[in-house]
Amino acid sequence: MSAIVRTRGLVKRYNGTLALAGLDLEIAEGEIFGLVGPNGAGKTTTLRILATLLEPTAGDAEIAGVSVLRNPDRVRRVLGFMPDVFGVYDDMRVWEYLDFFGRCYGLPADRRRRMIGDLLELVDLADKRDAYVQALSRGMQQRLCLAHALVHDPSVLLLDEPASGLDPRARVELRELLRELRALGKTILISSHILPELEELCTSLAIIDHGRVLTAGKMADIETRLRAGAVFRARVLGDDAELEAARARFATDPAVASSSLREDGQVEIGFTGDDEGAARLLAGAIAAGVRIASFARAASDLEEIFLQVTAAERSGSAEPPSTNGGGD
Amino acid sequence: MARVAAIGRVGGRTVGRFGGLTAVAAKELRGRMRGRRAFVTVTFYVGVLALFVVAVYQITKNSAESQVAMGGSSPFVSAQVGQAVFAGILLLETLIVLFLAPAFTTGAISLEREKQTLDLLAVTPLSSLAIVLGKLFSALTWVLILVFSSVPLTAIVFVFGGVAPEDIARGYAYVLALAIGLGALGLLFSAAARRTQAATVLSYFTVLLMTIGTGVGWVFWQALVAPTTTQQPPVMVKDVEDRANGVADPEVVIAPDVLPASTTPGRPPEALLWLNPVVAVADLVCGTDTSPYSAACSVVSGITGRQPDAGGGVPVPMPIEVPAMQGGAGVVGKPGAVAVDLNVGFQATVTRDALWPQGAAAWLAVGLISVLLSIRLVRPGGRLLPRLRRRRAPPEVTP
Repeated sequence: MSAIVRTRGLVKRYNGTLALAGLDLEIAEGEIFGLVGPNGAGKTTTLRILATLLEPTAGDAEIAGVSVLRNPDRVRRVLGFMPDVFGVYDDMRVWEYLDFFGRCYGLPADRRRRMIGDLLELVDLADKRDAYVQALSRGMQQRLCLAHALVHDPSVLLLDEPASGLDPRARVELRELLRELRALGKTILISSHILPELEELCTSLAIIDHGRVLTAGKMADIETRLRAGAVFRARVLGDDAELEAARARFATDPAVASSSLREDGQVEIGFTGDDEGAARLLAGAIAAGVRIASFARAASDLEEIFLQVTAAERSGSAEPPSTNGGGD
Repeated sequence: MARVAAIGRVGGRTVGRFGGLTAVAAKELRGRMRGRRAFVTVTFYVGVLALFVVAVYQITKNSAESQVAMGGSSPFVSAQVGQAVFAGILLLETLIVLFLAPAFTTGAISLEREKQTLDLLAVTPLSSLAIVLGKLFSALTWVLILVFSSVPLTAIVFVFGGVAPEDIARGYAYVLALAIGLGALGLLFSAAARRTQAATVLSYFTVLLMTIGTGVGWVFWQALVAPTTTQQPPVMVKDVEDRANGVADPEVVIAPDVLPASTTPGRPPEALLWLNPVVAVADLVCGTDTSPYSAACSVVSGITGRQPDAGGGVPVPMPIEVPAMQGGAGVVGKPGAVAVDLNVGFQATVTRDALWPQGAAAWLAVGLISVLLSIRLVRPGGRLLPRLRRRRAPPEVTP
């Protein structure tokens, strides 16, 4: 599969502060690509450069083989963009809103009519056709904004924090919608600072911080690559002395990098081994008489990975963090 | 060249530079004309204008009736009523444009920024030119609907006479130019200022500057450049005598051009007042006046230093007695005279339209410059002045 979105050494400086420090990305056609990073990592800057709204200080970006710098007009025609914060025009009906953007792309009247019907069906707003845009709920506006980015049938969609501010139900709907769009052959680039939001959705992922890609690749690859540094939590029965004994028992395993007692009475284990090792660790502990009520990976692995990767970057080393206690 | 070739092609369809203009204008007008609001506004405006015309008519009618009673010729008096009504409508319309044209455009770009919709436009192939012109066009359409809805009312002046259709055409031409210039200026402020509030303040400050500021400035300038002829002659005479006698005070150096200066006073440049709508309206009204000494005409002649020819428009029997002093070259050396008289000699036949065409041209120029600057500012990351390191290396073949 060829890369449909590619950035090379993107650098963006705002009055002295470095937002992007040589960002390289490659996104293959047909992927749902997640761009994750803490606030201020450079996600929005990257998307705005790709959307031809911002000129990079250095480097270049290509969409479908066309440079966003040299040929922004052509890029805009294959690109749908949904900004993180967006407004809606007052005094406009839903169909007029889409009609307006259709005109902006120079679509002829009959094609606009068809497109409006199709898109409203797609984003499930067909019954809101004549409603005023400002009267829609937040989730509906979000879907309308997504529909507006689709009026010209772009092959690449850039969505900046599409799920922020949505209730769980709207999030699920958005996820379904993005899956449908992917089935239609669109490449989708989504940014978020909340990893679990992307976990079930994306096919590939890049974690960025301080304007640099920390890790990138297929979702499954990233998980296995970084699962070595997973965190397990064990709920051990007994009093404080028993807990401490259990913690000490876990710590004897060579694959345990760290162990600590959490406030909630669970034992947290920084584990560097594989699944086999985890099974051995558990079996050994049970054999040693530790009363274990539950033993599981910490709730969101990717969240942990994300924190580890970004924290390692912040402390200036590539090592996994926190070998001493202190839990979370 | 690649840029040019790349402009707007979706499925082989070209949008081009002006393609989106109708999209923007249609969207704007759709919002503006929705519901009853627009029609109520027009009705209200025409109603107020009609009341105003009735008031002007009543006021001038009273003085006209007394003139006729004192033996004035009634066609002449009727013409005066017509001219007064014309002057009133023209002034009111100018005021409407002064207030409404900026009001409709100061939010055009900044509101899009504030509501965060400008990015949505910027990622479409819509050109900046189309955005700017579309906004300007829709705002002006609305202002001009108001202005031109008054045309039937203006036609009342033909009942009275004294105003020719050309005069009315001149008036509307100027108002149109003013609307374009001010509207575009408001748009420029809207694009330059981040906030609508700032753009509004800037726009109305400019309106004040143009109407009152330039007038006051002109008067001050005139006071500075016009020599105080009442004070100077004795000094100069003494000094010249002293010089002749060779006892001139070395401290007092008199430039050789001082003497002529006292007789041909300086005059602030007319250009200062080109953008002043009040002056332009005075000129337009003066064009219809039967008397070159009417209030409107004296404003004009005070500025240009030339006497207007008496009466434009429809020829009206004019029992005007030419004042004795008008014949005179005796103006020279008459100290303390009013500005009109300071000019050296009269040009007996001076064309009218002394000021408003320049005014209209100046406003159109302001409009054009504002549109061009706005286009720069509407672009993503746009700025008024080009950055120094803007040019990138020429495109190279991608590997």
